[in-house]
Amino acid sequence: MTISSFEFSDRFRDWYLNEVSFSDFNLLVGVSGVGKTQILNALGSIKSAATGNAGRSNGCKWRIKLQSEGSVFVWEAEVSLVPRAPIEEILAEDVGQDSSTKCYFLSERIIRNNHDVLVKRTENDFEFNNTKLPKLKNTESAINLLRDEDAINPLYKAFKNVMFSDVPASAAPYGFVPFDEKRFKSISTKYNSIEALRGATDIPILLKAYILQESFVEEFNQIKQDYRDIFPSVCDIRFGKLSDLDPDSEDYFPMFPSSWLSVGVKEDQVDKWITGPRLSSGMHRTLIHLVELAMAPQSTVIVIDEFENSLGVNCLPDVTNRLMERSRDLQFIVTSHHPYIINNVPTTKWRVVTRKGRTVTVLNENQIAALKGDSVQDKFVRLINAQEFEEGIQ
Amino acid sequence: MNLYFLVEGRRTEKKVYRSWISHAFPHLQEVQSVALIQDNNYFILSGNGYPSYTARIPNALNDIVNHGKIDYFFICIDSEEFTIDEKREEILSILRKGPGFSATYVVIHMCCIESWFLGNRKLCKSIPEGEGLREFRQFYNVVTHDPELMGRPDSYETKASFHHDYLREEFKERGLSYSKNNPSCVTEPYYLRELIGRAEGTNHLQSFRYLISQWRELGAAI
Repeated sequence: MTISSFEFSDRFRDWYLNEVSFSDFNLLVGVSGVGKTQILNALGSIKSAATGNAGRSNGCKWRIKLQSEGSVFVWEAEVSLVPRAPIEEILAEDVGQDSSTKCYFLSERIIRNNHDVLVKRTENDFEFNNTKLPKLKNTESAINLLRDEDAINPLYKAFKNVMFSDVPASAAPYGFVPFDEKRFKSISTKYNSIEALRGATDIPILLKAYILQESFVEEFNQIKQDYRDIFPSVCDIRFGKLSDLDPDSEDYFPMFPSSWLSVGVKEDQVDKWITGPRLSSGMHRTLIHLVELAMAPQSTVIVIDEFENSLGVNCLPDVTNRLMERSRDLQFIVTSHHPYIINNVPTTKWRVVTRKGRTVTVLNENQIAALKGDSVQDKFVRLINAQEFEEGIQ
Repeated sequence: MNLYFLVEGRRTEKKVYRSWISHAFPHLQEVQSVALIQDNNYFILSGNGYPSYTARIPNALNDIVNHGKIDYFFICIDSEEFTIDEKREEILSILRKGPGFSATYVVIHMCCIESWFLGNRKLCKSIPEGEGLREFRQFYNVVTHDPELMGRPDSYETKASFHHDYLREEFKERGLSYSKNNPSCVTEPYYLRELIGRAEGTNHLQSFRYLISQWRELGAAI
């Protein structure tokens, strides 16, 4: 799927995003506080509403245009505003349930290929393909309710394939998965092809990597090779039970259960595996990005906030290049402040985020005067000198 | 007339030079990209501090030569811990590597642009009340002595950081605030006039006087 554009308003937080257009690779740049992460959060709310309920979308209204399985879809929706204490709102986001029951869809419209109105929903009526349906749960989106319908299923799958790359700064706690070989074997039998495994969007990335290692050796070895190209001192990678990789791990990381699935990296001339809790943030993040890229099903939208976090100069260029290479069949929406990334991503892929009060506007290269015409100055230098960047928040 | 300015920092200098240029050369219009320069335009590029700006100088020269319609190139930077001669030599050694552009002026703030701002005697109360400012004045009195020649107490790592803090204290004493992001009234014409008056009425602010004399040669209305 590809997200072509979206606009979003959030009455609860009093935050508004004018329509933003996306291409295959989108680098959101702008000063701190301008709203880059908020744009990603807005996408997260839409995905959450599409594949579930309105809990994360209190008081929100959006219009998103996307392509999936050869059709163009427009989804317009508005969710009721329920006054809540901010802490309840945060809990609703983190837990993804409970207080969500109060938010419901005020309206929805799904249009296919500019003319087929598939869904028309108001507070009182619900029409699908021009047929009135009985009363359906108003806290759930039409996409989720009708996901098994042929007309709606591509839209549901599309939103399932929006992947928020969420790699914590520390290598220790990503994807807590208790190691259970029997269970893992039973899960892996469901995926008899690499495509099937890629399509399993609900499996934690760590477990996906383990199944890849056990069942798809060639693909796993490719990741290993890619990782070794970036970190030449690494001679092996293994996903397994932490206590098998490092029997002493609980001595130095008692908070990290040794019975859980972890990763081990072996370096030349170092006997012991460097396991998850001890792996540097940059090495860990690089590995996870490689696994994510290798395991993303075609047409996945990958969303990464502050892409450069923890990545040193020895890995940042390679990981950036790999992302750019994959933008032929995946869509990326990435935020960054890093000069290397900004300089190495074509200006046509930049999306300069600006904010006037509560309203965020995203500008393309051709709307930035400072980028017009030739100059031998670095692109990053030209960007940070642009008025729209310097005065990004007004 | 078309001017190209490469200034030291991103926050203060760009704002201050933009406004001072508008007072001195009101007929010039700013453009956002060097390629957009046509007639009676100026362009300001921030060098993003030292040493980043040293890498911008050759690129700026190339842009100027390639463009062909830029008349004067101003490089406006801080001397910081160096003498004017040392800093000028550093910049000239970069300029010598070319491409050549003879109408280049190297304007050095001695030791930083805040040192210049401290030259406004109307800003500085004769008897300050703030304890911090009284201590600074005891260390060096910018009303009676040249702010450009002020050193730093041992507790400061750099002269520039002391001059910045000194200026903030002078502003505070007047119930005003100064910050790199918001240099406030230093951009106003009256502030510029006070600095010019100090530079011309005394032998203080010599590095600032160099800028004014060059601008006047180009017809500045100041």
